[in-house]
Amino acid sequence: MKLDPSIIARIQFAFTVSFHIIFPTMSIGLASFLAVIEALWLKTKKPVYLEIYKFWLSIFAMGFGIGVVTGIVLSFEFGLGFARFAQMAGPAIGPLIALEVLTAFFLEAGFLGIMLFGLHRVGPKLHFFATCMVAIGTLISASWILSANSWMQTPAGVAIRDGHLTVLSWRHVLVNPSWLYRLPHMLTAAYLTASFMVAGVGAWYLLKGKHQHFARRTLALGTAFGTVLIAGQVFIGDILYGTMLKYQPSKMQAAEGFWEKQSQSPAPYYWFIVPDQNNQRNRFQLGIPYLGSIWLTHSLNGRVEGLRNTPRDFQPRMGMVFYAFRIMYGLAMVMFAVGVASLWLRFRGKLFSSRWFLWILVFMTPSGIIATLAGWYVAETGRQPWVIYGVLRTVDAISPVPAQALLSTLIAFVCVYAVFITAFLVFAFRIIRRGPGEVPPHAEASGSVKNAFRPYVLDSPERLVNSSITQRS
Amino acid sequence: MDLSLVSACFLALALTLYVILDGFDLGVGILLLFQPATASRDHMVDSITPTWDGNETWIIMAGVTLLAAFPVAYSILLPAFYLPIILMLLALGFRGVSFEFRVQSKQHRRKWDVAFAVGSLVAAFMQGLVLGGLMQGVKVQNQHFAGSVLDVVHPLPIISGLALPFGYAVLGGGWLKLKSNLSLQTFANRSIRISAPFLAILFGIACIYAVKIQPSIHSKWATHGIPLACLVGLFAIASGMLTTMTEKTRPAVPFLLGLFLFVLGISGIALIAFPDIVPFSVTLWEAASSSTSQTLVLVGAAFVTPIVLTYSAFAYWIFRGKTPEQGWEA
Amino acid sequence: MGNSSKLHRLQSMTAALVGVFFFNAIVGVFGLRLAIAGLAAFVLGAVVVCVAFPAQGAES
Repeated sequence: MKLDPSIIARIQFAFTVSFHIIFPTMSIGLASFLAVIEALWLKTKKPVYLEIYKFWLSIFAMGFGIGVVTGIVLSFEFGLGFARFAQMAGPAIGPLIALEVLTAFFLEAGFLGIMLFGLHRVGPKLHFFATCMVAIGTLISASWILSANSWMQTPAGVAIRDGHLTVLSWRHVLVNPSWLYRLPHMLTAAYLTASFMVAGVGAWYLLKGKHQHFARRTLALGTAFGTVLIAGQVFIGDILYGTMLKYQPSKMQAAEGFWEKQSQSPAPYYWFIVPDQNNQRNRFQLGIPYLGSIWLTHSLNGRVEGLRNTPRDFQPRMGMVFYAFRIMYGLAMVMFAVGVASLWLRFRGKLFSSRWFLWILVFMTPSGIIATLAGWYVAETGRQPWVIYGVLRTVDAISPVPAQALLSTLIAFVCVYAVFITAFLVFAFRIIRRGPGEVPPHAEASGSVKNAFRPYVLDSPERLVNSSITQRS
Repeated sequence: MDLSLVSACFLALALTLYVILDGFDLGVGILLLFQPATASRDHMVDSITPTWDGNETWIIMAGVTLLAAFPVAYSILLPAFYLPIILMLLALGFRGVSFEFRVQSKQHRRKWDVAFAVGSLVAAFMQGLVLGGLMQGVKVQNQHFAGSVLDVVHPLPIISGLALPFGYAVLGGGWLKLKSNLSLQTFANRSIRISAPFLAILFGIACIYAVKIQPSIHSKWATHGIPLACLVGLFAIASGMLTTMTEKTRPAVPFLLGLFLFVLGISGIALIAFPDIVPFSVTLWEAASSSTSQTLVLVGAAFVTPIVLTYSAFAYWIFRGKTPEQGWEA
Repeated sequence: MGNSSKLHRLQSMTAALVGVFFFNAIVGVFGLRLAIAGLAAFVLGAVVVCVAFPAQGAES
């Protein structure tokens, strides 16, 4: 059987990047959540906030570690699987990623040690500063990498001659047409992910009747943030949709499931299609009448442009883009409904006692991750057949590496990453089963900035006192 | 100003920092395989836990600098070393997650320690493989890689692959001598005394073999014989000092000698490779991207690197002195 | 008891319909201005509800 190296290279990159994105999404969200929690602890001195901090810190630490190592893979994988892409795009996205490493990775890495291990080594203010630096680092990191990916989607600021690329204007490379819309969308997705994770775990504890104080606080915070964030996300999403309609019409055409150059009027909103790309039609389609015109043209009878508006050679595969979009958008609607429900239940004083709602929150725990993944599949499969939209096609971008080598390393990645995610889930569930640890009623970070600069003394009296554990809260 | 030359210097700096900083991390990891006592292993890992992440970041910096400033070289070298680089990345992955996962489980900690150690060893071996492959020379045609992914399965890369773990073990032993308590001092000393001679011998064999099989290296020895001979000589002397060190040696000396060994090695390689970035086919200037790209990286690097080094040093300062017995959680 | 539960159900349905209205406004069905206004109103309303009705037992 003749293996196609370009397909295997794509599958390998798709696999490693999908796996990777799960973890930075969690890390960006949780880092900011931890910063908020630590601020609340420092301000109110209530032990429950330290409990929340320590609990989510341990899950954050695991996720961050996996994010780092899977991210290192990606920075080399451009060259490993797609050397021709790297050669062409290097001058444009290389410096962006270099600046990401310089301004963000080092920042996170530098302060992560203090954040994870320095609670007793440095004073509370310096520790809080470290948490904030890690959170800011994740934010800056996301900004750079989103700019690089957005440049691939809407390239600008470069001149291309004989396959060589020269950057003419860094401002246009960095602030390319889609960056400033995609960045807030991704950041909000990360914060939403953390909100629903936190709320879901809190709901789980309430259902089991354990760790009531911890659970109520995290559920309240998670749903409050989540509600505000999903409203913003839906708004940003719609604006982004309009932008992508302008710069990558083929992507949005594929996303909606219409083939004809002008759909019927009024247009339905499809939820289920069986696309037949070879014959440029749907074998079967099911949708809600009128809703297509309403949502996609903001009128009652507008026509939607279908995929036949794009020449066949430049069409992405409709099936992937359509379903990825539906999953993301569908989850967004569910999140919005959950947010509204949470506000209503708060109003009626039943937020913690409505078991049906708690169960929904539990099931919604991974919703942010799934929606984010789906959104990225829209972005990346919708850009095909281009790797740099309108400039370089994916099939022309691969490395001179034989298909067998690509396949064997793909299998290696799948096996190793399977170990990573299994271990992560096993340990995360164990942490959740164990629940938040006891915290002494008047616990404080036991160091001080002054102490940090004095020679460290093993077994000093303060350390012995703080290692004692007092009764349950 | 020759931008390509400055970019190459920054690239060399990033690689050097990586090799030195992650070198002792990987070295401690490798030495775990030879430490049977659980508490001692915990102590060893604790000594590198707070700062490993920042250390590893320098290899990303090196890779990304290569992409940004020398995209032609990036697109040749990465497919050329496809297999060792991927295996290295997977090994580093295991090493990285083992930090977080080993503390979660008491019964399976031994298994995670093995993952940690094997990951460190495999990563070191693969890095050595790439190094040897570079010295062997990479087949290039029309600025694209034209060889086979199995070109690294040859004597020179394999010898380098075997040598580098010993080098890291020396660094790791030196770090442990600095940071660990009394119970590990003997272990640290022994690691250094055993690793240093192996490193020196394998390094020597690699040098001789490289001259034999790669004509460009042979001619480099002809033109730059004296500096290269000095480097080799200093290498031999430093290795000798490490092999014969005693308990009375001051704690920082072995670690510094180890660093010195690596600086010597890197200088030698730079001397041999220059002016090529893909030995021995593509020069720095042939592989370089336009000045706009290099300028952005260098300006960013010029501003940010001093800041990064400062707060990285601060992080090391916070966790200075001997690693506490009971670890960092208490 | 029957009347008040009917009332509750009516109130819940109204809340749901208000939610649907806000959702459609925010995705721009009624134009950009109403989308911005809808978002602002929704967020303000959410903040007001969270502050005015702190979930019971959440404060220690």
